[in-house]
Order: sequence, then structure tokens, then C-alpha cells
Amino acid sequence: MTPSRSRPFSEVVYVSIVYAVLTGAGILCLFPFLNVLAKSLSANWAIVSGKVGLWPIDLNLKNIGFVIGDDMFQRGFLISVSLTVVGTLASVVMTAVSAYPLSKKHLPGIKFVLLLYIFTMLFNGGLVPNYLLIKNLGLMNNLLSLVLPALISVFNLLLMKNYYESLPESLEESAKLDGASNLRIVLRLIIPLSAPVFATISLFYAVSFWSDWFHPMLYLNDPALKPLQLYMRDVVLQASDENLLNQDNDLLLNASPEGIRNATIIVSTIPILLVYPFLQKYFIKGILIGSVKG
Amino acid sequence: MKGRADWLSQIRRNYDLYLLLIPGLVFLLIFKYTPIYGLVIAFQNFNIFKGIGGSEWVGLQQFERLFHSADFGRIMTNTLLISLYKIVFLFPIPIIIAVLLNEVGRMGFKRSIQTIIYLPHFLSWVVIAGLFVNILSPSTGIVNGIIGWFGGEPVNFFMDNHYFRSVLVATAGWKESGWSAIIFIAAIAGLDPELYEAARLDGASRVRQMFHITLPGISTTIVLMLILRIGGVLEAGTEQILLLYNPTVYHTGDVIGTYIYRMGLTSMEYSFSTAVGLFESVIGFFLVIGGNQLSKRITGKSIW
Amino acid sequence: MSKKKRFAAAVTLPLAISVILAGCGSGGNNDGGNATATGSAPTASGAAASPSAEAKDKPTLKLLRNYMADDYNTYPVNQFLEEATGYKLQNDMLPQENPGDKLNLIMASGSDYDLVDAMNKQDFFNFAQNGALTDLTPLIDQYGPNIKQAISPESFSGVTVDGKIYGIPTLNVSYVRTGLLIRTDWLEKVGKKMPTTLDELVDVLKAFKDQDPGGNGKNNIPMTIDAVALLDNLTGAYGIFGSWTEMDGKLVNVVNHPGLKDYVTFIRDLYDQGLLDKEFATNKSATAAEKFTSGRAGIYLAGWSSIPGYDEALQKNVPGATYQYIPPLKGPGGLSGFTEIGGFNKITFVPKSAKHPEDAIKLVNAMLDPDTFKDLFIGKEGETYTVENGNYMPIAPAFFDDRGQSNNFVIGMDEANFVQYWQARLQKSKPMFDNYKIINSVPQDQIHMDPLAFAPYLPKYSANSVKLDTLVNDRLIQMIVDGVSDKAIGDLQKAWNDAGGQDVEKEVNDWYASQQH
Repeated sequence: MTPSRSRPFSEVVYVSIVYAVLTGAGILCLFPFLNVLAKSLSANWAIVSGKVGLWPIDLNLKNIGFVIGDDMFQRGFLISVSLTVVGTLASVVMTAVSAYPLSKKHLPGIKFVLLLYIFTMLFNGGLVPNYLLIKNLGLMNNLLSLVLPALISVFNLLLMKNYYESLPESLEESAKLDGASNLRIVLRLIIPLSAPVFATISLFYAVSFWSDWFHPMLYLNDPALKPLQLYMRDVVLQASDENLLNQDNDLLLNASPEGIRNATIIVSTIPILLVYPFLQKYFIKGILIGSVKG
Repeated sequence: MKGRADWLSQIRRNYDLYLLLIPGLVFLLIFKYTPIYGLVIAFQNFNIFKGIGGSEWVGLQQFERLFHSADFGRIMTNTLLISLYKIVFLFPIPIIIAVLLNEVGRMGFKRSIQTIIYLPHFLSWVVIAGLFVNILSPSTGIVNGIIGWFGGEPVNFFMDNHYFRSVLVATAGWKESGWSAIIFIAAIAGLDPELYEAARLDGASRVRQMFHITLPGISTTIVLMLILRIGGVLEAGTEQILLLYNPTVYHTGDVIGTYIYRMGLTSMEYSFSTAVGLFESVIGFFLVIGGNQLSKRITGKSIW
Repeated sequence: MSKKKRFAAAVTLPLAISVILAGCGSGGNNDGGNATATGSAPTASGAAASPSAEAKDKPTLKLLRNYMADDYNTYPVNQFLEEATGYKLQNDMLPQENPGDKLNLIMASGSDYDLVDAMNKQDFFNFAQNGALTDLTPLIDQYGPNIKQAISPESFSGVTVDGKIYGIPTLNVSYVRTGLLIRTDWLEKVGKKMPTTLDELVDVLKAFKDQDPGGNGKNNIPMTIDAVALLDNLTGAYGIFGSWTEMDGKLVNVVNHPGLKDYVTFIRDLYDQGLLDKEFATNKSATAAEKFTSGRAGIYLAGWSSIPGYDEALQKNVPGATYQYIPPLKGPGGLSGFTEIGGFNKITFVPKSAKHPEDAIKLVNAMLDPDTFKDLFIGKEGETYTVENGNYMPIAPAFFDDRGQSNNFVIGMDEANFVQYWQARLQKSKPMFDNYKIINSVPQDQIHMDPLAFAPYLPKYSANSVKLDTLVNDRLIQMIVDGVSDKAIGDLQKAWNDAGGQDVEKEVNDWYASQQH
């Protein structure tokens, strides 16, 4: 990684290609987001007539200001942030704990438990029984209805288990020879070594709690509890094609203008975008392995 | 007998590990296995007011409704083809991105690219569909502008059955590749740096290191992701297609999910939608099991 | 580092969960009265006008409402209603997407709502037939003099099952919703008059194409539409009015309409000659609107409710641009006209499991007191509206801030007056109001009401009409793009019959025949 020695020509070409490809991919991915951002800063007329590309027209902060000032937005924001923080912490702990024994495939019964989990990835009871379950647990109109059923994502569990399996077995063996208990091994050895996968599943859980609009739609009736993503989805869908065919013109008369719709997308997406850069420092390879070995 | 004693002693020695399983099992029992009784309504004509006990049993009638629908052959073919194209063309992309990012030395560049390429994941298909209709428009779209600049004829991507599946694959790849790469980036981050150090001392080129250290190092993750991906083969991207297609490309773009949506069979047709879901689940389940066995035999790696 | 994280998680988790529980759990099943209102609607306290003495023995009523963008509980109308009726109201809300699905779940699992809005007749009748609703007939007799005054027997007949009234119907304003907007400045430039027949329309479109009055070069589009095949005004020229047209005492679906083939052929020709947007099948509503508002399209099929946004954009892009709806065009057979829609906007009912059925009806009765209704619907004269020459004019922004969403609060209409009140919201923008008038004040014989608008519950029709309409639209678009033939029309009819159309046709005609006698 240290470019101190002079590189052979082939390597220079190779590296240039790598940078070029990645830069290209970056530009492709950035452009639509810039478009939405530009629209959120533009005047309504310019958006309606398709004039806004990557640069705002009639630049103004009115749309953004309007959205941020809206009390439905503010409430939704607070709810989404607390939901995401609490949900992510709880889920990461729950998943990390549940995944560890599953990584010991040789122990009796473990494969069966693993299959029990995998089975639920493909089969679920469907809308009605899940609704009745939440209702019978007394969780309707309660934010816990969004957290508890989502505590373990089997996908994340498998990622975690997979990662544990990839850790060098020799480390655990030697710790065991030193007489360390399983619990001690997990706390002292496994967790410090697992920063990248903790970061990954934290990100995945955070994003899924933040982005969930379907379960809030199902389990919450009180408009005061609406999380941000459901609020945003409603705003975006207000003037969608399907609603235009709908008879209720009063709904359309009250629909938000384009600028506000784009501003809503921007302000409800940026908070979750900030999570990844924050977690990126845990994606740096192997520093921790080195430290443990040392 | 000996095996049994061995079992018991293993369990006794690792009782603390077994204790760790309990919270997860309780979670599974309450939130996953309690509601699973709902699957039986696939064999009923379910009336939500009468409940499962009071609803009429109809055997396989709901499944027959799906298999005997006029366009079943077409939607099944489209579903499988679109899914297959997506797997073949899109599955490798996140791996390539992750591997390439691993070759980048400048941290600032690496982090910026990582962050930027995962942006599209956060835009919903409603928003993206609108953007692509403009980008790919034959008259004003930038893509056709480029085609025209090279002297080509403009292509109406959204109305041409030759191109529509490619449009689906390309837009899906654009939206999700950066996001999916995160898993592989994390897997690479978990590799032991000493391996690279040793290879470098042996004079291995960077390309060689990539093929001999990075890729083998993340192969279990690749296998895991591929098996799970194959299990979802009957979900070809319903939401995406609903927002991108139009009647002129039903021939190549109509899949199971979009068909039952258009036929009004998603809303309140509890029994039918459960039957369709069950059909997809059973197929997916066998594919996951088969994929796991196959992978165990070929690569020696497996989920369980 | 990680240890710290674990520790922090262990400490904050129960804390945070308890905060969520305490702050947000609305105590589910407690009996109205005192507890519910405080827990779940923290922001509604802004409305806390000192409750009058009688409010003390009136219970808090739980209402389940249709989706609207704002929170019912903090919207000004709610405060007005609580003061005017003396009831505390807790409004929950159905989602915007598939509200019927959710409503079904709520009703089937036993709800404690006192009043529930159903947007869909089918849901309402389904509940009534499954015995989930309270018979309102005796309650209205006893507590509902205003209700009887305001709502006509005809409206009530639409919510009556086996002689019992199960719901309060809320009427929609009946109107023509869409038409063809034409750039009148383009007409002037190409030296044509406003078309009155299909031939003249084609003539105008050709002139738009050849002379390019907008100066758009290769991006010039004579006419653009969304991805819909049945275009208001143009269908009228072939005697087709909506999905079902009355012919010789029978209801004929568009697929079996004798004018269908000529109609599609006409649109196909427009498409073929480049007079209709080549990309129309891929147009999202926003794409088509872009083409019109940026000055690239001469004619655009639009609903009047979108005009305010379009007008601003068009004026900015093409200062001085003028446009208006094209009046009814005559077809080759001399036919013309628009399709009018109407019927019930929603039906509000009292679930069997409601805690306060009598109070629910008393609330509706209080809301339908003529003065209360007017205030609820459009506010107070001088504050939110004024009256000029008999027209109700809104005072912006007060009207739109305080009463813009009032239609969602209404339960039952003061049927004699609401249309007049309602027109105040059209005055939000003059171009919208003027164009609304153009397509809604054509002679009565050219406005055709959807014959099924006030039909009672027809199970097959309700279950299949959306699917069938989609099928027809899809096939017609394919014909416009690929070509019209007798075979294609025959295939459409067959597909339509197979998808349940035949049964629906019989059902609606049986009902229609029973109406004639």
C-alpha cells in the first residue's frame, strides 16, 4: 500500500484503469441524485416543465425550508431517528449473540437451528396472521411493533455467522488452551476482530429501520406516529399516475408542488446517507487482527 | 452409543453457547413460526371475517388459477429470463467493485466512491422511473443523443421488445450494485493483511494478489450471496417493472408479480396471493437447498 | 472501543425502549373518555380551547379517516368541530396506498372506532353483509333530524341493505374531469380557428406539425397525452362515454361499442402520421406535462385540477402563451360530448363494535346543521371567503390553510348547497376556474353522466371493473402503436369476456333494466 518503490509500467496502467472505472461508476451514480437535489432547490415551474438538469433554476431554499418547518416532518424525523437508533442497537446485539453459536457447525443440533432460521427467509405466514399477531400482542399504534418483529434479519445473521467462521480458528484454539471460557473468547477475541461485519450489519439494520414504510403503514393508525419514510412516500405518491386516474380531484388540488416533493426526498434521505461515511473507518482491513495477534 | 455420549459431553462443555441460542429461538417462535399457520389459507377461499376455521377449503384451486391463467407461460418465461439475466450480469458487478476498491490506495478517493455509488439505492423506483424515461427518451434523451452522435438511429428503449429486458437489467444494476458491494467490501476488510505482505515479498503482482488472495478470501461470502440470490429467482423485480413497463412491452416484460397486480389479484385476494407466495417459496427453498448441496460438492463451501 | 459500544448499548436500550413505550403507546383498548386523548395525540393539545361544561359528559369519539396529507388532529377544522359539537375527536387515518386492505384488517380484527370512512362501496357492502356494521335507521330517526334534512332519500337508497341504512353517504361533486388543452396562440400563428369537428382537429394538428408554431424543431409535438387510450372529448365524437355507454336502454361496454373500431383507428392514424406523441405509451403524467408546459406540445389531455401548476410553468417558459380546453368536437356521425363522473365520495359507517354509536350519530347530526356545515366546509365569511355575485370566493391564504382539506372532514353533505360552496376552491387560480367552466358548462345533452355512478353494490362489477378497464386500456394502446384490425378488436372482446366482462355486463344490465320500471 505504500507507493515508495518505483512501480513497473504494467502496474501504472492497471492502477489507472482501476481509477478510471471507479470514477466512471461514481459519476453514473451521482448524477440522478444531483438531479433530485437540483430540483429541490429550484422553482416549481422549472421542474414542471423539465428544465432542471444538474443545476438549480431560480435557486432558492424555500422548498427545503418549507419541509423542515413542517411539523409532520419534524415529528416524523424524531420518530425515525429514535426508531433507527434503538432498533439498530437492539438488533445488532441480538444478531451478534445469536450468530455466534451458529458458527460452530460441528456442535450437535446447530445445523438444525440454522435451518430453522433459513426456512423463515423463504416462508412466512403472510399479511393477515402477522397483523393479528401484532394486534394480539397489544402492539398496534406502538412503535415497538416496528422494532420487535425486525430484531433479527436472517440475512444479517448469516453474514455475521459467515464472518465468524472466517476468523482464523487457531486464535480460538490457543485461547481455549489457555483456559478461556466461551464467553471470554467472544468478548475478548471475537468482538474486537469483527469490526467490519459489525459495521456492515449496523448499516443494514439502520437503513432497513429508517427506510421501512410498509410496517408503519400497517401497524400505526395515529398520524402523529408516522415515521419519516412513510411521510415521504405519501408526499411523493400524491400526484403519481395512479392518483391522477383517481376521481378525487380534491386530493390533487391539495398535492404538494414538485419542488416540495423533491425537497422532501432530499431532507429525508440525507440523514441516513451520513451513517455510511461514519462507519467507513471500521472497514479498514485487518488493523485489529494485527493488534490481537501482537 | 458412543456417539450419543459424545453429543452429551459436547453439549455439556458448550452449554453457554447453547444458552446464547435461546433469545433467537424465542424470537423465531413468536414472530416467525406463530404466524406461519397462515399458509393454510392458500388451500382455502379465505374470508377474513370468518377466519381460517370458518372459511371454505378448496384444495389446489388457487394454484390452478395461477397455472391456468391465460398468460402463465409467458409470465413464467419472462420471470425466469429476467431473473437469470439479472443474476448472470449483475451478480458479479458488486464483487468487481469491491475488488477494485481494494486496489485503491488513496483513502479519500476510496471513501468518496464508496459513498457515491451507494446513493442510488436510496432513491425509490417511482423517482428513478421518471428519471430514466427522460434519459432514455428517443427524442430528447441523452443516451439517444450519444447514439445519434455516432450516426445511429434513435432507439425507443421503453417500447422496443428487443431492448426492454436489457433496460431492466441495466437500471437494476445501476440502482443496487453499489449497495450490494458493501458486503464484499466488508468481507475484504476482514482479510488478514499478512497474507498480502507475504505475497508482496514473494514478488506477486497486484493482479496475482487479487486472484490468489482477495477472491479466495471472500469466496464463502460470494457463495452465500449467490445461493440466497438464486432462492429469489421468481421475484424478478415487481416494483421496478411496474413502474418501467407499458403495454407495448408486456410481451417481454410482464412477470408473475406484475401480472397478478394488474389482474387485481394482490389486494384482498388473500388466498390467491398466499398461494402465489407459497409457490415462489417452495421453488426458492428447493433452489437454496440444491444450491447449497451443489456448492458443498463443487467448492467445499456451504451455508450449512 | 467495541466494549464501550456494548456497554452503551446495554444501558441505553431499555431506557430508550421505555421512552418509546411511554411516549407513543396509545393505550389501545381503554374506554374513550379520559385516557386515550392524552397519550396518543400530544400535539393536539394546541387545540385546547376551554371545553364547555357539557363536553365533560360527552365521550371522546374515535374516528378512522381517509388519507390526507396533514394530520387531522392538528388541522384547524378539527378544532372547529370539537368546539361546535362539544365532542373531543381522535382521528386515526388510513394509508394512501390500498386503504381498503388496511380497513379490511381493522374491521375483521374488531375495531373500537365510532365512525369509519370507506372510500370504496365494495368494502362498505362487504362489511354490511358480514354483519360488521350498526343499523343506523333507528339512530337517525331518533338523533338525526339534520341528517334527514341534508341527505336525500336517493342518496340513502345507495347505502341501504335489506331495508336498513348502514352508512352516511357523502356525495361527490359531479363534473367533467379532463379535456384537451390547446395552445390558442399556436392556433393564431397557423391561422386556424378553434376546431369544432374531428376533421378540423386533424387539420390543426397537421398545421402544428408542418408549421412548427412553437419553433421547437425536431422536438415539436402536435399533441401529447399520458399512457391512456380513451381520450375525453375524442371518444365523445364516436358516442363513447366512459367505460359504459347507454344505448337503446342497455349499457354497452366500450369493448362492444360499435364506435370503438373507428375511434381507435382515428387515434392510430394520428399516431401513424406523427400527429400524436410517438412516445405517449411511455409517458408518465409528469413527462407529458413537461412537454406541454415547456412549450413543445400544442394539445395536451389534462385534468383541470393540474392547471394551476401548468399555467405558472408555461407562462415562465413561453411568456404570453395562451391555451384553453377544446369544446366538444363533432365526429363523422355528428356525435359529440363529455363524460361526467360523480357518485359517492365515501360512505361513513358505525362498526358493530363501536363504543358510542348514539354519540356518533349525534356528532354527524351536529355536523350537518346547515350553519355548522357551511362553517366546517368553507369557514366564516370575511375570514376565509367572501361572496361576489353569488359566487363564493376564497380569501388566500386563510381559506386554503384552514379549509383547503375540509372535504376530508365532512361526513355527509348538505346536498342542496355543497356544490356552490365547493366551487370556492376552484377560484384558487383563475385559469383553472375558467377552464373548469368551459368543459362543465356545455349543453346538458353533451354531458353524459357515468350510468353506474349511483348504482348500488354490484359484486361482480365492483370486483372486476378496475382490472377490466386496465385490460381495455392496455390492449387499445397496443392497437394504437401496432395497428388496428378486426382480429385485434375480436381478441380484445374475447380477453375481456374471459376476464369476467361477460358476467359483469349481465349484472349491470340486469340492474339497469330493473331501474327502468
